[in-house]
Order: sequence, then structure tokens, then C-alpha cells
Amino acid sequence: MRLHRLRLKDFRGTVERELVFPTEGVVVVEGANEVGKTSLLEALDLLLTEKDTSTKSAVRSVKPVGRDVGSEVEAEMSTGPYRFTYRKRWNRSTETVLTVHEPRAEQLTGVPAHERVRQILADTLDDGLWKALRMMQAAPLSQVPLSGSGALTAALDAAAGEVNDGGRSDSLVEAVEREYLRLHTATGRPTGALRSALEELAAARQRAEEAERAVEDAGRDVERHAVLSAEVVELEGSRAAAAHDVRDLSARWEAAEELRARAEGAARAAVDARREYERVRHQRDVRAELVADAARREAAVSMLTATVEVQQESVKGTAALLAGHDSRREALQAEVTAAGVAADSARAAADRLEDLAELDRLQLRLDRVERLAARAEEAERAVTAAPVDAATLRAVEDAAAAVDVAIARQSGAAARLVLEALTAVRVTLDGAEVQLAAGEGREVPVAEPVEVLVPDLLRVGVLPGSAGDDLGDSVREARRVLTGRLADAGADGVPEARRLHEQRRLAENELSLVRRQLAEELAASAGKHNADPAELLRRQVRALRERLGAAGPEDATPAPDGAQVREEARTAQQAHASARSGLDAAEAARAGCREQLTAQQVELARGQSAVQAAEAELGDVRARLATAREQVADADLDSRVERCASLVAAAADEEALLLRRLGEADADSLRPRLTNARDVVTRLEHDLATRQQELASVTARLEVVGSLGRQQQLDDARTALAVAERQSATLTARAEAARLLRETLLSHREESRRQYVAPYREQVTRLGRIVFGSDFAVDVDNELRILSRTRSGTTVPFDALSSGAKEQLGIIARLACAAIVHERDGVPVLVDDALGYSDPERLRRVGAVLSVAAASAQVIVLTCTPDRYRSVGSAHVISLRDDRRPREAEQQALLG
Amino acid sequence: MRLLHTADWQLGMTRHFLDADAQPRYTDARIQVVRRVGELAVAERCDAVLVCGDVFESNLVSPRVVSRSLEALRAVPVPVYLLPGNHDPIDAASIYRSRAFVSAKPDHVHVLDQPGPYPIGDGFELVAAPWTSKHPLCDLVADAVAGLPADGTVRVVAGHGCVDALGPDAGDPALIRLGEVEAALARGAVHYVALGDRHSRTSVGSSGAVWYSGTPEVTDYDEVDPGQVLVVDLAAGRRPEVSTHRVGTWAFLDLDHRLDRPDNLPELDERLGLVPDKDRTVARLALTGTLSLADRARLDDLLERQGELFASLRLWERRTELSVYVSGDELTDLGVGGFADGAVDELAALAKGGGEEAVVAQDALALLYRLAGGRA
Repeated sequence: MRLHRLRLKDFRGTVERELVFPTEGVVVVEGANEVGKTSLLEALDLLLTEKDTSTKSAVRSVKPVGRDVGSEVEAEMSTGPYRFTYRKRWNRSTETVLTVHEPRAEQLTGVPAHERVRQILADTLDDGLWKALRMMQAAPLSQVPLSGSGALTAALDAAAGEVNDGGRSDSLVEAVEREYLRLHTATGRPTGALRSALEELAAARQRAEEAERAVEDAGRDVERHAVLSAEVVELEGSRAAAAHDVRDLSARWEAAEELRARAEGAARAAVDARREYERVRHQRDVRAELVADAARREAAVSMLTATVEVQQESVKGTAALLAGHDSRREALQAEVTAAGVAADSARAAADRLEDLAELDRLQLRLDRVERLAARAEEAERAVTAAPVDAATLRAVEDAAAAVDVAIARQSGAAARLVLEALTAVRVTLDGAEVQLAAGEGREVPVAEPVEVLVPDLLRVGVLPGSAGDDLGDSVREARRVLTGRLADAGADGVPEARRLHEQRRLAENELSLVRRQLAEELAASAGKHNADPAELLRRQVRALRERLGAAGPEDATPAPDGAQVREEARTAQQAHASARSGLDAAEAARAGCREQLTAQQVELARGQSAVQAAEAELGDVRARLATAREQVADADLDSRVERCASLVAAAADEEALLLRRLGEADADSLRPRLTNARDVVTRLEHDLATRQQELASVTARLEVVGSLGRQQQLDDARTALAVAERQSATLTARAEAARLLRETLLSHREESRRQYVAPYREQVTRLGRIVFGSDFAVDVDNELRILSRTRSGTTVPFDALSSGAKEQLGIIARLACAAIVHERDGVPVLVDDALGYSDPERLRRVGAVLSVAAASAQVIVLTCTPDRYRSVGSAHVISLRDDRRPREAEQQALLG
Repeated sequence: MRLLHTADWQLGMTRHFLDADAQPRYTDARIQVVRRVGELAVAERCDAVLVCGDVFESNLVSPRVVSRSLEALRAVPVPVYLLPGNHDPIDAASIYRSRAFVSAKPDHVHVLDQPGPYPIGDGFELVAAPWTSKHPLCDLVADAVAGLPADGTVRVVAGHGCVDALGPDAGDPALIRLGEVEAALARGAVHYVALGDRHSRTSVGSSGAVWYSGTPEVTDYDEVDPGQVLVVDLAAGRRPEVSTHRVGTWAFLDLDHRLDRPDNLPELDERLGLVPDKDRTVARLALTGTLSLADRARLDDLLERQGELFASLRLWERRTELSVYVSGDELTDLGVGGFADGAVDELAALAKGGGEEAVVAQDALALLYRLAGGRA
């Protein structure tokens, strides 16, 4: 479509305005706000879509404010082969006038004119494209909706090398989609008639299966009936046979039971007979035992009586023996008394003799002790008389030694006078003459002044030095000490002291010797008494003397002989002891005899009581035997035993006979066999009853079945199923065909779109490079949406782009479409004051794009900021001025 | 003595491929044939009608079928003997003991429910071999003829089942042994053996006295010579004379037709047009060949149009093999182009293949043809 001319009259604020557009290139319509730019587009849309009679608010609102006039729009345009002028007036004096200039002149008015234009546009104008190629000021910066455009599709098809079918393929897809959706939901599930058919099929199948089961049930019943009938007959036969068995076994069992009762009676009789036999035999045994017992007891009594007689003799003998023992004891007692007196006197004599000997011994020792004591006293005196003891002597010697030491030191320290005789000479040294042989020397210390006189020749005096004075003092001090000590010791000199000490030592030795002897003497007699041993000794002597004095020791016959006396005493003692032991033996013999007698007497008494007891028991036994014999005689008992034994044998024979017959009757197995036979009958009757019951119910069911016509129902159900199957098969085939057709078409459309994306992207890229630079690229999907922009190697999704970039891409996309679409199918690109987000540099570049694109398309730009589009070199500029009437303008100004 | 021998009436049978209109007419035809049998019996001066088994389709047919059948039998003026067969055995559920049957049975209708002889006139006997269960374990006919004397009585054996000479299943204990039957014929104990079970009219063996009458009204496509009954003329001392009489009114038809050239379609149309009594004809078409999209649409039209006339007109799926191709400009003539061309090519390739997929692809092409505005 191309817009050649547009005229508005009394349309909103516009009183009258006419714009003429060049066929190609950019037209920039500029004007201030409120001047009515957007009204131009609105007027064009109303002209093409609304009838002159329309009263829609969109139509009513275009009436100028405050003026009761109709609003008029007239456009001259060409589309497809047509070129026409079209005018409408709404609201007042409505009118529609169409004048077609090409290809054939036509003149229409009113509704036919409107319809004709609608028809022309429907045939030639791509409505989708017409709307898509507008870029409105107020619209959000979204993608250009291009996929619905047949013209674009055709163009792209052409570009992609496809046959141009003028959108028929797409309308075919729509038709197929409709057909598909008749039987499928959007998600591909069966719906509508197909779903009903499938549901009906499922239901019919279920009904057929049910009917089939019903028929099969009947068939099973028929078979069951036959089986049951046969079983009933068979069971009845079995039951009769089993009943016969029961009768037979029952009779046999009763006979066997009677036999068993008899056998049990015989067994009881046999037991009784044996018991009687046992009793009689026992009775006989008891009698025999009783007789034997009586005999045994008689023998025992006579034996015991004999024993007692022997015992009586023994007792008598022993009593006589005891009397002898008594007399002998008395004699021996007298003998012992006499020996005792003799022994006592002999011992007294011996004792006195002993005491005398002791007194002598003690007296001798006392004398020795007293002598030693006197010596000890003498020795003590000697010691006391010699005062120099060992300590005193040591003090003197020490002092003497100290003097020697002092002198020695004095000598050592003093100068020494050395004399050497060159020839034998005689000298006087400190007054003492000294003969010296030739070559002989002498050395003299000079502690004191020394004088050497060589007679006749020379006197030499040598004086010690001052150092010798101290040493001289020491010597003097030591000599003073020695002198003191010697005074203490009472001696004139050291040798004197030594002699005094020797005297002392001898006295001390004497004293210790005497004391030791005394101690030894006393120790022999003293024991351990604390008392003075000598005193103790004296007391013993005194005591002995007193004891002997009482007896008159001085008067006693002088002891003839100690040994003799002691011998006599010992002999008397022995005689006494022997007399005593003789008495003791006699006493023991008598006691033994006494004991024996007592034992024999006890024995005798026991024997006598045993005889009495045995006699009493014998009496008892004899009485019992007599009583028993009174009841039954011994001979009768024997015959009874024999009779019972024969009865026992007879009863056992009877029992054995009956048991044998019972065994022959097989009685043990009869009972379980009978029970089993009865169980068999019971079970058979139960089985029979069960079968008959089931047979009755099967028969009843079959009677009912006969009137139900189940076969008919099955046939009907199968017929219905076949119909449903045919129906669903038909619909399924239809649905499958639609599905396959749809899928195939859609996949080809996808494929085809993929192919024509390329030319579109090429155009966008070509134009985009002018704006964004030579490294610009875009990614476009099958719906011709721009997915992302790539620039300087960076890819950004469309939605993430800046508003400016989105806006620029929006214009580029539209211009690319316009450039692609065939001239015949093209529509004007309408840009209503876009690019508000773009910077001046970009604006310049977009201007260049507009120039390039406008070479093959009509581009109409409406703007209130003409600067934005200054850079479109080839632009044809139309300036709008406010042409409202002055009064109106004033009003507007006042209101504003 | 003249005897009308028929069998396999299958009263109450339904055919699921018949639609709601044809089914009642078919059911009715099976009852009406009974009346025609009666009329024929009169016309041919028959003394009795013998139905050798499968009188009813099942022991479980509806009481209405029973009462309507008996009503038809009531119109038959001669005695009618019904033999229980494998479809209607004389078992616990037997139709012959149902209240519906017993209460409405006319006196001249007899059920041969016990094996053995039934006198039907002076010197004439029927020897029945009824089925007592669906699976007998012996040759019922052999049992029935065993021990029959050749005493001058003219005997007609009434049997049902497959004869071993025809039957493929040699293991079936219920097979009728032709040897036994022919031996009985040879020794003069029996004179005619009337059989049922086989729906095709058939003379068995070489004696000329052993016959299947076939069903009087066709029940399936594979039946040979159905729709007839036999009239048997019996007399002591001579062979029975058997004549065939048509009573059936329905036909089951199989048609093979190749569709390769455009003029094959009118030929098919013509063939179908020539079929008589279409409303009583059940036809099954085995079509093979290759069709253009337009011809395919024409075939669909043809079948729909002829289907209205026939009692049933169906494609025999198993034997039908049609493929559809897109001829030249069929679709471009309709203005289909653009990417749709690619889709058409793909579908056409699919349609030339085999199996389910090809059928679906053919349908898809046909649909495309229709949606694109193509005409048959």
C-alpha cells in the first residue's frame, strides 16, 4: 500500500489539513505537541475500518470541541492493482465516497463503498504487516509481531526460494488444525466424537465380555449338571454297598461281643479259683509252720535249762575262792604295818649322820673365808701406802718429755760450734775435757754461752744470739712443770717416781689376787643370795649346830659307820615296800575274784529269765496249735489243697478255649471296620446330599437361564461391539490422519521458516551494521523474533538490551521487513515520534538507515522534535502549523 | 413316503456385521424360511419334515425367538421332527425342555430327544442320533445304527455332525464314521442317512443315500450351495430319490476387484450395480491396486453410495490392499503450494510403503485433498 494524500477536515483539533506524500522515501511530518500528528494516523485507521454510520466512542470522540460539524477524512492510496480516493464523514452529514481510479474506474457511495474498500484491502493489504510496521510513541519496546504476516512470509518464501502460494499453505494449516482439534484436545488427547467412540467401544467391550461370561457360566452349569448327575448315580450305588457292609459287620460284631463277654466271665472264674487255691494252700503252709515252731521251742527250753544248772555250779565255786582271798589280805596288812615302823627308825639314824658331816664341811670353809678377808685388808693398806699410781707417773713422764723437747728445739735453733781436730788434741768444752783424734769432729749447739778451751792455746767463747732467749724460756717453763709434778708424786726425780709406781703396782696385784680367791670360796657355798656370803655361811653353821644340839649331838654314840647306817635304813625301806606290794597283789586277786562272781551271778539270772520266757512262748504256741486243730485237722487241709488245684486247671482251660474262639472271630478288627463302614455311609450320604443340593441349584439356575435369552444378549452385545469397533476405527483413522497431516505440515512449515529466517536476518544485519557498526549480528528465531544482539563479540539477549538499543532494533526490524516485502505488497512504515531514547550519534546513524530503507519503501515519520530526524538526508519534511481558529486557540490557551 | 430333509436353521442367529436395519430383516428371514419349508412340503406332498440338528443357534436364545419359531412351525401342515444338534444339545439347559418351548410346542412337532427308532408310518422309521452334550465322546450315528436288523422296515437315520470322510480332525471321537453308515445301508438295515451340521448341501460318499441338506438360509460367505432343502422319496426295495429345492432368499457375496486404472472404478460400480436383491445381499469386497488422491475420494463416494443399497457392503480388510499416490498436479491444481508441497511429498512417500503407517498416510493425503477443496 502507498499513501499518496491525506486530508482531514474538522477532525479533533484540526480544522482542515491536507498532506501529500511522495511515493518513496522518508517523509518527516514535524509539528509541535497538540498540533494533530497522531490524529493523522487515527484518521487513516478510522477511514479504513469504521462505517460512516458508526457511533462508537472512538468515532464520536473525533468531533471538534464546541462545534456541531461532521468530521471528514479523505485519503488517496494505492494497494495491489488498485488506486482509489476514499472519503468518509462521521457524526454529522455522514457520507462515504469511493472513487477507484485503477485498474478500472469505479464510483461507489455508502455501504457498498465501504464494503468495496474492505474487499480491496482484504485482497491486497497484509493487515498483520500493516499493524506490525508501525512504531508508536506510546507502545512498549517489544518485539515486532511479524509471524502473522502473509506478505512478509511470501516475501521471505520468495527470498528463500520457495514457491509463493500466497499464504494458502498457512490457511491449509489452519484448516488442518481445525480438523485436528475436532478429535484432539490441544494436548493431543482424544476428544469429541473420538473420545465418545473410544468410551463407547470400551463400554461395549465390557458389555460383550459380561454377556460372554454369562453364556460361559451357563455352559459351565450345563457341564456341571452332567457331572453332578453322573456323580449322584454313582454315589447312590456306593451308598447302598456301604450300607450292606455296615449290616454285615454289625451282625458279626455283635456275635463277637457276646463271645467276648463269655470269655471275660471265664477269666473271672479262673481268677477266683486260683485265689481260693492260694488261700487254702497258704492255710496249709501256716499249719505246718506252727507245728515246726512248737517243736523248735521245746528244744530251746530244754537247752536253756541245762545251761542254768551249769551256771549255778560256777557261782558256788567262785564264792569259796573269794573267802580265801579275804583271810590272806588281813595277814598281809599286819606285815606292812610292822615293816613301816622299822623303816622309819632306820631312816632317822641315817639322817643325823648326814647332818654331822655337813657341819664339819661348813666349818672348814668358814675358816678359810675369814683368813682370806684378813689378807685382803692388809693388801688394801699397802695400796693406800703407795700413792703413785699409773696416772701420776704418766704426768711426770709427760712433763719430762716436754722438757726434752724444749731443750731439743733450743739446740736445733741455736748456732752450732763445729770442732774438727786436725790433729789429736784435747780440749775443754764447757769445762769438760774432750779428747779428739786427728780428723775427728765435734759439733756443739750454742744455746747457752759455750766455752771452748784449747788448753794452752786458746779460749773460745761462743754466745748464743737473741733468738735463743725465747727458747730458753720454754725450757725453763717445761722444767718448772716437771718440778711441780714430781712434787705431787712425792718423788725427787723421774726414776724415783718410777720406783714408787712399781711398789703401788705390786700391792694392787696382791689385793686383786686375795679378792679373787675369796670370791671363789664364797661362790661355792653361797648360791645366789644377796646377803653377804660369809654371813650366810655362818648362819648355816649355826642352824646345823642347833638341830644337832637338840638331839644331843655331843651325847650320841659316836657314829659307828655312816655307810652301815645308811644300808640298814635302805634295807628297812625295801622290806616295807615289798610288804606293801604283796598286800597290793593280794588285794587285786581278791577284786578279780569278786568281779567274776558278780558276772556269774548276772549270767545266771539272765539264763533263768530266758528259761521262763521260752517256756511261756512254748505255751502260747501249743495253745494256738490246739485251737487250729480244733477247727480243721491237718489231714483235711491237704485234701482241700488238692481239690482247689484241679478247679484252677479247669477254669484256665475254659478261658483259653473262649479266647481262641474270640481270636478266630477277628473281633479286634471288626470294631474299626464297622466304624469305618458307618463313616463311609455318613460321608457318602453327605457327598450325595451336597451333590443333590448343588444339582438342584444348578437345575434351578438353568431353568432361569432358559428364559433369559443370554445368547441373544451376547449376540446383541457383540453386534454393538462390532459397531463400536467400526465407529472407533473410522474415527481413529480420521484422527490419525489429521494428526499425521498436522504434524507433517507443521514440521515442514518449521523447516520452511528456518529457511526464510536467513534473508530476514540478512536485511536486519545489513541495516543494523549502519547503526551498530560492522561487527553487529543478530540471532533470529523461526517466528522472526530477534533473540539477541551481538556486538564487539558480546552477545546480549534482546530483553536485556537498553531501551535505546531496543528502540533502534525495532526500527531496523521494521525497515528490514519493508525492504524485503515485495513492492506490490508493501505498506508504509509509520514511525510516531520514536527514538526518544537514542543519543545524537545513534540518531544520525538511524537517519542513515531510514534513508537507505526508504529507497524501496514509503516511510512516514511523525515528530515534534524535528532535530531527531535532521540527519535523514533524503527526507521530505512537512511542517504542521496550528491551524485552529484563533478563537479556539485562545480558548485552548485560556484553558491551558 | 416323501420326506423333506433340512437342517441348520440356526434360529436366533445374529450377524454382527449387519447394521441395525439389516439385522432384524435377516433374523426374520431365518424364521420366514420355516414357513417356506412348510409351503414346499405341501407343494411336494411330503409326509414329514425332518430337521437334522441346530434348529436353534443356541440353547440360550431368547424366548421370543422360540415362540416366533414355534409359531412358524405351527403353520407347517405335516409332522415335523427336530433333532438336537451341537448348537442345541439335549442337555440340562436344553431349549427343548425350556418352558417357552414346551408350553408353545404344537402337537405335530416332535423332538427326537432319545436315541433310537421313531415310527413315522407303516413300515417307516426314523432312527435318531441326538446330541446330549456339546462334546460327545462317541460316534452317535454309529451307535444308533448298530444292531438294526434288515427286516424290511424303511429306516431314515437322523444324524448331526461331521463325517470322517470330510472332516480334517481325525482325532475327534464324535466324527461320524462313513464306513459304519455305508455298511448299514449295504446290509439293508437303513435306507437314507439325513445329516446336518454342514451348511453346504453335500452328498457324502458314493451311495447317493447320505446327504447334508445344508442350511436353508445362508449364514456365511464360505458356504457352498446354501439356501436349499432336500425332498427324499423313499420306498421299500429301491434307492431313495433326492431332489433339491431352493427356499433361501439371502446371499453372501465375496467380490475381488483390482483398481489400477481410472476406468476400474466405474467397472466396480457397474459390478455392484448388477448384484440382484441387494437389500438381502451381504457383500465383502477385496480391493487391490493403486489410486490417485482423486480416485481414492471417488472410491469412498462409491462405497458410501452402494453401501446404502446393500444389506452390508464392507471391505474385506484382510484381502484389501490399496495404496494412494499423488498424481501430478492434483494438489497444485487445488492451489496447495509452499511448504505444504514438502509435506505432501513426505506423506506420499509414506503412503507408498506398507502397513498401518501407509494407511494412515493415505488417509492423511485424502484429508489434505478434501481440506484443500478437492472434489471426487
